[in-house]
Amino acid sequence: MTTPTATARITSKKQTLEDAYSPPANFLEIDVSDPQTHGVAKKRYTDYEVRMKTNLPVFKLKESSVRRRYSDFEWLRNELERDSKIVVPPLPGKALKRQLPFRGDDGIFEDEFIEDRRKGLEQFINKVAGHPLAQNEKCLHMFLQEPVIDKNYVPGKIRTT
Amino acid sequence: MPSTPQLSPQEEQEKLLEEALNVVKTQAFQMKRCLDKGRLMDGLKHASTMLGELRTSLLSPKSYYECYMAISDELRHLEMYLVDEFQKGRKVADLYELVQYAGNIVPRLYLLITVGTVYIKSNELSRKDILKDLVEMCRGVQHPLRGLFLRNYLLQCTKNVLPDAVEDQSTESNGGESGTVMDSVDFIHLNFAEMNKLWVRMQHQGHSRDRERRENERRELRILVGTNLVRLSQLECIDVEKFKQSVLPGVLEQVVNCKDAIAQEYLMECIIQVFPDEFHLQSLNSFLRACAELHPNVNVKNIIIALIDRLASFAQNEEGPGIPPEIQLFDIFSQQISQVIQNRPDMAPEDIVSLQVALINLALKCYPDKVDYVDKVLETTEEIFNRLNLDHVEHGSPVSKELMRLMKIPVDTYNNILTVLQLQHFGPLFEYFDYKGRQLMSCHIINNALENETLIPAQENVDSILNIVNCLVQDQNDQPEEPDDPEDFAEEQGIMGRFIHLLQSSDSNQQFLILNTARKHFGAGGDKRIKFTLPPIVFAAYRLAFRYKQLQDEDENWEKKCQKIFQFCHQTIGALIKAEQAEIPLRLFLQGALVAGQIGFENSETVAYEFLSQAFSIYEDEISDSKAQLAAITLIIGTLEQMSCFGEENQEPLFTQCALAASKLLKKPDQCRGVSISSHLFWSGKSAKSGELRDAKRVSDCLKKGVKIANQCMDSSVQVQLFVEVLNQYIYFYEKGCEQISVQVLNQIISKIRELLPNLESNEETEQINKHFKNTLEHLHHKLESSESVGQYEGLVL
Amino acid sequence: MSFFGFGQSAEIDIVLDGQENRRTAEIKTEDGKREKYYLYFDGETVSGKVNVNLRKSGSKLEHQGIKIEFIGQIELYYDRGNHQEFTSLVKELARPGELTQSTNYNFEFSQVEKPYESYTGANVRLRYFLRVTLVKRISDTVKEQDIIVHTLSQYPEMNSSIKMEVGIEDCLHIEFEYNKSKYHLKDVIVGKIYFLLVRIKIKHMELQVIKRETTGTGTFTFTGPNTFNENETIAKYEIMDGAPVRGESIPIRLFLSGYELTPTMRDINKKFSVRYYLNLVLVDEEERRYFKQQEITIFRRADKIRKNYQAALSHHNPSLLSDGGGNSKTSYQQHQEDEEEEDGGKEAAEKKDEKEK
Repeated sequence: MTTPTATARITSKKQTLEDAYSPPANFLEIDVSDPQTHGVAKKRYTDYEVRMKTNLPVFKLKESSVRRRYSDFEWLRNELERDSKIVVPPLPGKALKRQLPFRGDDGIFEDEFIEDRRKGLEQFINKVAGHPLAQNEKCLHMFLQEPVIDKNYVPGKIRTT
Repeated sequence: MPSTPQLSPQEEQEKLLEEALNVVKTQAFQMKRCLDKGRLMDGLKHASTMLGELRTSLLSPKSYYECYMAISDELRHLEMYLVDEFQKGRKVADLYELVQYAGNIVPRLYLLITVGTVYIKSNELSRKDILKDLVEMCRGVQHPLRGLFLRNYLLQCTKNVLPDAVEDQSTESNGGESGTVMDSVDFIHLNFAEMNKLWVRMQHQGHSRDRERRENERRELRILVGTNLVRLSQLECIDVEKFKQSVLPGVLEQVVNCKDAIAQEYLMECIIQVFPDEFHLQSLNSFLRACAELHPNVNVKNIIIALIDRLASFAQNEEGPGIPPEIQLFDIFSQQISQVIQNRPDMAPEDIVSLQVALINLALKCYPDKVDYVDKVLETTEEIFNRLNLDHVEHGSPVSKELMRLMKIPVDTYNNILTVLQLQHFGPLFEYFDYKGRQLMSCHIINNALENETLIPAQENVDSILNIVNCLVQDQNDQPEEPDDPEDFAEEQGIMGRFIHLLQSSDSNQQFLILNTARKHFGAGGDKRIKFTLPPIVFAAYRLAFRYKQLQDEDENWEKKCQKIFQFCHQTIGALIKAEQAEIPLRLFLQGALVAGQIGFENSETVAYEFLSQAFSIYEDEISDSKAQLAAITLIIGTLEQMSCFGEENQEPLFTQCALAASKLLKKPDQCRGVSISSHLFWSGKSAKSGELRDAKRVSDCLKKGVKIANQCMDSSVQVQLFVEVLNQYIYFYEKGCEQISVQVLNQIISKIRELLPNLESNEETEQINKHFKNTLEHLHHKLESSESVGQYEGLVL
Repeated sequence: MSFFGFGQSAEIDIVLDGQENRRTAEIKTEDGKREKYYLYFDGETVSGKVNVNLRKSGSKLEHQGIKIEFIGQIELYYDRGNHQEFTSLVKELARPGELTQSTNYNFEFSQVEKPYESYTGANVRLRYFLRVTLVKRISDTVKEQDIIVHTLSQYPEMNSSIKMEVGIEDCLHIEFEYNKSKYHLKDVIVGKIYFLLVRIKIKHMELQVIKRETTGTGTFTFTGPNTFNENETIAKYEIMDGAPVRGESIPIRLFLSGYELTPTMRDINKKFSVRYYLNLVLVDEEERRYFKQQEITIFRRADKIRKNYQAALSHHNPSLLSDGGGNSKTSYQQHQEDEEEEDGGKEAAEKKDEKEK
């Protein structure tokens, strides 16, 4: 009734049990958390803990934690924009309005705003770090895993092999 | 977009599910309407749209399950419709090909499975090819949740169409190869492997912080994976050989290699549950070997125990075939369990012991006669404790509880301590408990013997038991400084006292050895214990003496043996005296004197005399309280009064000493009573030759002395009481015919009482005395009026 | 034509020989409608009868001659006035003269060469037609009758499978295999995707059949300024849902008969090409797309006539079952999709060189 093509298949290699049950090799998880506001007046800023866990060999450390502020994220975004071919996702807004004087509230230091920004930054960094091409960029590695960002670094690519 | 109020995650789920179910309902309705009108293509289109709901990533596993159930319900309509059409001969050619045009994989595969099943049922295409194709094509869904449900649908649909024949039964007419049971096995194996893979992989989905929630979700989904094993178990053509050669190895390969504790724990138990015991029996080694390779987090103990429990009840099922003799069930489990333990250096000791508990249960249920199996388990446990350097099992710890469970099993199963004693390693293992543990276990053992009235018939048995329950017999090095609660202690020792009565041999000589051994053990028990434990030994010894008396015709040495027994008793009672006991030794001596007198062996008079002398010494040296003294002298008098073994030369001083002792009692009322009571010695006391003394004079003297002492009494209430008591003694002897006692004496005492009684203060005590007196008079009235005693009380004034 | 003056006018009608037994085929018109015409193959004789029917009886019709042409032409839509005729045969039916009554003329183009397949595309049309012209002094009376030509191919002697390992270094290595490189229109593509390394979070994978119509004036390459490429996704077929791990093998089975395909046409009369590609697309959780295109050849198989139901189903079933993801895309959607893939295009540039296996 039906042609044998209805069930045609190319036989495939049997997956090894080791492969079948190994944890996926694409584990990458970055949490942006614990916002802390430091300093006073013009020097006041908020930073966040950026904690990464991964099993990707491209990253030197399998677990790392650094503290970064919004301007660090901006720096990363600019570096990627300039040096890589990838379409870099946007950052959460700069909230310029909130930075105007004479506001009745705490401006960009309001808890609710900080929480929204935290979510936005988390989304951003997960998108970026999961990008195969971004993963080759030195700036990303410095951002995620070096305690201090050296903004005078020599841009370049990471080669693992 | 209008902002919606914030929903809780649960409300969110409910909303999403409701929306999905609405789509399902609408599309299902349309699908059925189209089918009713014979518009198959449109019907399929709606089915496909309905199935689109299963593409979602938004539903929780629970909600997804509900959605899946609703959809698979509706798909059954489609299947039934198609089967119906095919049966009517209205075939839709290439339907299997046609549904493969669906652009999205999830709806496509659901439709493919549905149609594939219809093809199989209608004998279109080769059943074998379709099954193989379906299970292979499902690889396209790698998303764990969606893949699991898809493959579960595959299992549901193919439930009744899996080939289940040993030989391929295909003919030209049924569309090619219909397959054999082994094709079904391959099919399920592959599906199982894929599902298990997805299930394990699910653990790695989502954020690591939700690990626990995911584990719970995975547990909720386990039945989906387990269904594969159920299907395998439903194949009727699988026999033991096929199970052993391919079915089980194929499953175990996945289970062992997945290295996932949740999966392993569930699947191993699942294997046990779904396959018949006969299969397990024939494949024990491979199953248990797999157990040894499971992830350290798997509670392998529970798995093995579940299997043992099943096989044990199988063995016990009277209608069943029992364990085939060629299967060394116990040895297999024993070896494999020790392998499991070896593979798991981190296994908790209590879990190890739990396994031994299971093993011992197995041994007892399957091989009730094989004591050595049970012993082997105990030995293994002991070895493990040694290896773990575990020499002190603290009471209340999990391992202590398990060990206690382990060791109670033979006790409670055999209900015979003697069988327990055959276990060479019971005693040594017992020593691993701390003091409290040993104490509880010892009580358990002894109580078991008491409840079952297990007689301990040999000296070695006594030795063994008392060594095991040593902590109830003697002080221990590790016992707490704080002594036990006195009541608890007394209860515990009371049990031991009762236990001594179970030390019985039918052979008297053996019995003597038993008592000696018991004496040796209990003698070391210290002052606070021996008062509970030595008296029963002494009593047992007295009973033994009576037995020898009965054996006098058979055993010419019986008298020597009796002497030996009395020596033994004398010395044992001596130990009690050393422990500053007085009343018990006194009584034991008196009892010994009585027994010696009754048996009447060579020298028994001397023995009795000695025992009585010892009783007197205790009376004189050890008893100082006046009330106790009166009680003691009363006992001595009572004992002497009953004895008849003494010649006059022994009797006279004994009696005199009693009367003298009575008269020397510290307080007047005691003196009065003691002297009155001693009167009985001179009336009904017996000598070896002449029977009762009936010495009226000395009786009368005693009573007179009693009246005299009563007269000296200062407390008028006590005085009247004493008069009433003496009156009663007088009446007793008067009625016995003691010629020295006259009605006048009675009258005098009665009138004296009458005179004094009204002067007494009216209180409860007086009331008692009054009553006693009235009763006494009533007795006399009765005698006066009775026809049997006419004239007896002539002259009595009432 | 009859609107001019009150003179005699004629209606021309072409009846092909064996019409009642001849198969027909459908073709799309430029505006998307389907039309049905008689089907011819290369080398087949096209013969028949031309009926010239006079509208008014009793009145004569003067003409400068009647001819019939067999024309194969390529029309580029952006160059309407300039049709390329690659075949043009003429038969004179009547010398200049007068017609006093309706007249029939037989014609025959014997074993006529029809090198290309009839085609209607986005920018180009290739059509065959018969044209009867009754030449008159003021305005000719013309009648055109389209036919459809299918080019048939024998089953190719060489039809190796396509097997290739591609990937992004240290991120994603896959090996894909399609059972053939040449497929006939009703064929089924059987294949598999084998994953060697997966370090990205894949969400799903689909196989697309892309038709690329290239029109232009270049001779060998179509890179000149007048070259137009038109991509159309004919089929969009999800083959995997979720993320695989290493060692996973995903089966592919795609039936072509449900989709509107034409045979591959390469450099047709140096005017246009129609090529087909299998596009394997992987989409990750961030909607990034990774793809690999592989050209396949589509041909029309010269074999037995397939059963009717097959043809019937192949026309309507994809749109029934493909949840809108089939070949019935609007041009708007198409446009969107092209944009989406630009991002991926950047990445594709980084893909490591494919090595043929």
